[in-house]
Amino acid sequence: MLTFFHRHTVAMSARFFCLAHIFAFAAFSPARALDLPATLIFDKGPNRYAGEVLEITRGRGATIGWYVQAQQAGEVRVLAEYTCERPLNQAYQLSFDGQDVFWDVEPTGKKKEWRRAELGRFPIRAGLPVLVLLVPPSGTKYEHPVRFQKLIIEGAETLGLALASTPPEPPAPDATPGFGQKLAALHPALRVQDLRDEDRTLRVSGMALRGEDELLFCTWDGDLFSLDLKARLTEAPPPLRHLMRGLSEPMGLAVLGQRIFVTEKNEVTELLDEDGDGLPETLRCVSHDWPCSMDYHEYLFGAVVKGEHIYFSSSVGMARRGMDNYQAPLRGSLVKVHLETGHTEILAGGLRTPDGLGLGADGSLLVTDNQGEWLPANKLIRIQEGAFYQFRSTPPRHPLDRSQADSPAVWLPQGEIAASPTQPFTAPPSWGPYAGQVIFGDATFGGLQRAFLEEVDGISQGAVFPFSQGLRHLLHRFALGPDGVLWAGGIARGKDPEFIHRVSGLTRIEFTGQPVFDLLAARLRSNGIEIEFTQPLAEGAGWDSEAYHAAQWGYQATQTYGGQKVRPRLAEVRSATVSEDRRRVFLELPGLVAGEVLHLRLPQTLPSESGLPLWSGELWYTVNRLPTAHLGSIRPAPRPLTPPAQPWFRYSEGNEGKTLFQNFCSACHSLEDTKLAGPALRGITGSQRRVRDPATGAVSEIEATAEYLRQSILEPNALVVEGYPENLMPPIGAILTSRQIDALVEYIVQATSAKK
Amino acid sequence: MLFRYLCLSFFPLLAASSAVGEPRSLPFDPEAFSRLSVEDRPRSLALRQGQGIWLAYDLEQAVVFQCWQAPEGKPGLLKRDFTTRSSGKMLCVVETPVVWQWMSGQVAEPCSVRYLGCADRADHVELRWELRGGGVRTLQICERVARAGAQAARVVREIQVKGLQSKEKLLVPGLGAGAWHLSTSAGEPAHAITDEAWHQLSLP
Repeated sequence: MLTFFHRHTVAMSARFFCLAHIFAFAAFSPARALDLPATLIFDKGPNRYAGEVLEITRGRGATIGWYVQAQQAGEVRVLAEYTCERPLNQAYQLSFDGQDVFWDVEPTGKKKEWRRAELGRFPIRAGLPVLVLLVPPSGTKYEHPVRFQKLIIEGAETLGLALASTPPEPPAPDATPGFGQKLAALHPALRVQDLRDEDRTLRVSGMALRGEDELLFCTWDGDLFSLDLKARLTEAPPPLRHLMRGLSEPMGLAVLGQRIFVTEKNEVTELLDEDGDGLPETLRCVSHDWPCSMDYHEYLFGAVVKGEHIYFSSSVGMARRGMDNYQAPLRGSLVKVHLETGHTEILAGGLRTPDGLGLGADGSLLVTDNQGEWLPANKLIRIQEGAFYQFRSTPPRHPLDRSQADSPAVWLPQGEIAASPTQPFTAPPSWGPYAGQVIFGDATFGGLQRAFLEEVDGISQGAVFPFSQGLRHLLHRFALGPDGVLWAGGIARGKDPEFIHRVSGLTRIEFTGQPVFDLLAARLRSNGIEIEFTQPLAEGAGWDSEAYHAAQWGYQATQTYGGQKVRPRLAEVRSATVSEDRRRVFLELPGLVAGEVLHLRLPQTLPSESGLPLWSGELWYTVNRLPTAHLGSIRPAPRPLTPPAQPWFRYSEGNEGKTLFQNFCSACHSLEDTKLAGPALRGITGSQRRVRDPATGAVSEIEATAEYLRQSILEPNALVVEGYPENLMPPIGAILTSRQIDALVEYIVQATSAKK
Repeated sequence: MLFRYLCLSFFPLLAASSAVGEPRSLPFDPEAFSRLSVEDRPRSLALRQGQGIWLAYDLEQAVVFQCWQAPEGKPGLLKRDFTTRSSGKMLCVVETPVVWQWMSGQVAEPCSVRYLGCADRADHVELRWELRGGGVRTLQICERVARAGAQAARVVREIQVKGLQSKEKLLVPGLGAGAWHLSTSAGEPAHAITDEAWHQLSLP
């Protein structure tokens, strides 16, 4: 049975969840030191307690963390009390309010020989609960445990240190597509032509226009094709011209005049047609001045040509992440290569799977990066020279590696708005209100997402919005024609050829200019955020602060896959002020914190002047910097607010599991029989499944119980469905809280039992 | 998120080819010229000469590190994911790492190697490298491998070096008994390259 709550209840909760209150049980200690006992951590994961001692043998799944609050700002040193009989092959990570140090655990010898080790000294802010995380090496299992009793935090003076309670994930309103859930349809102003070729599977990995009339694209499988854009494209298959084969996993293509460049697996290559037959037969290696290994996941993503240089990004390897997390030097870089001399420079480091590179409206380099180790969420990065974006390897570390990493312009929360973001591009002038904004695809989440960027005190930040779904392809690469037509190429991973064929290939996308009522932009002010709409609100609408559901949280990168939200809480929306033209609403938000993400949900029922329904009602704004002395204007509503006929938001039982499934699972698992990247789930609960233990290769038949589903979420590689490879499914258990996993499993059991 | 395309075993390149109904004249036909890594060397490629002789190059060392004969009627290069392995009878293996030595008088200087690229011409394949000794000067190496099978020897490559001055020579690694033989264009045996003339490297 569904239960409904009025938004008012949650508004009260919002106040309750304000920072000053959520950590209210903190008892400030007059002492200079504070113990963080092992018994009070968030989650021991697969490790076990021996009395008050935590015996750590496995990193993944454990969240050894605490929130700590200080009454006064100052400096603290952090010590660990532990025993460890033998050396480890990797260091522990200690992160204190986002600052990382590594602890090479020195063996203590005997089991009961307790030792204190100083792990580092850190500044602590006053008032704000800060996260202290001790992160064991992920993926690796040790036979001998690190026996851990507590961390000790010592201030140089009395700072009023206290342990604070762990905030629960705040409630979220019921979700529908575009409102708390992934969109389900094509944006009203887009027209799509699927350039299907039934005979070819084209996993598009690079794309660019040569001149105004020729689209060039390469495929992951190593082919280069040309499409004459003057040709009639009304009949399938499109008239592709196959130019060459044998490229080595190209993941980027760029054109300068008539010249073609590709970023292949291990080199940047210029394709030359020296004999003039129209087919490139000469491959000039422009540069390969960086180390590489046989790791399957080492790619060069790109590419962009600017001036005399080509720019691309390199991904890190994945094959050794369960062993020692070693990376070939310089992996995870933004690289700049001179087109003629091959001179190679590293512009930025700390990238993971930066499978998207494009230019911003101001010519800046934009990169998308994929969630995973060291990335608690996906990112849209505006590249700064010399920056370090936090993916860390075991030594030798990236030369730009440093303790305090640089922030992305926009965090893209995993499963909520992205999963594998791909190439960003800037919407051209013909794209109406969206012109100049950043749009990017996603090779798992699907569709197109949109970002609005602004600068605050020279720091890039902004908001991401849902833009469109309803596309057959998982869009990976884009090229814009001079007429504003978007040429897009899809790609897929996985093993199922039918699925790969279905979602790969070419698409032509046109912006029709059809009016749409949508969130357009979000601009941060010192005291809140101003949101802009594409059309005016209906007269009198938008003034009710209860029509805005706001939540905020931070992120903490760890060497473990993904990451849970830090300090998740509702945010107080103190007031809402509609502009004179009714296209903008200023929301007064007294609790904004730099370094956090603000998530806003608007109700579907918010009326527009035109009568059009709101296309999508949510945004995620990354607050890197709070502007100083740039206040949003606050005015009282012109007339008393009339309560809405229906509550702005509803809160139903079972909504959470359904939304989690939609956001985290549905891209790869169908509840029906449709084959996607992962197994279809129809009738799974209670069925017999043939599974393989990748560690031993043993195949067995088991019953798919709720416990099996839970284990598959927490440890996707523990038992793999026969016929599917390891590492295909990300360990999303690291991102979700225990409560969320319960809700997700319950939903899957319910949904798949009913469909037997 | 990971990108990965896995197959369970190695497949002949022919079967893995994705082209449908394309003319064979397209450059870089993977059946005869594979630019995927060979034998776990990340920067390497493999070429077929004639019907069944394969040569595998380590591009970072500018050397053919192995040469083999494909099994009768079967492919000589097997593909899994985006990597390849040899299949057949090994004819020659060159121990690596190798060192190219640039000699001026009696002084030998080891060279660093930079791969410059390759070309798929109508009747042969071409590979280029740049060698650098201790100074600023460089040598340019061009190597050609005819598509057609060799006549007198089982395998033949041609090599040209540009940039040598008088009294300088380049020692080619991987020569020796049971391995590659170096000879001038006139067929005279040679131990080093001293001029810009094309030389032959053959495998008896």
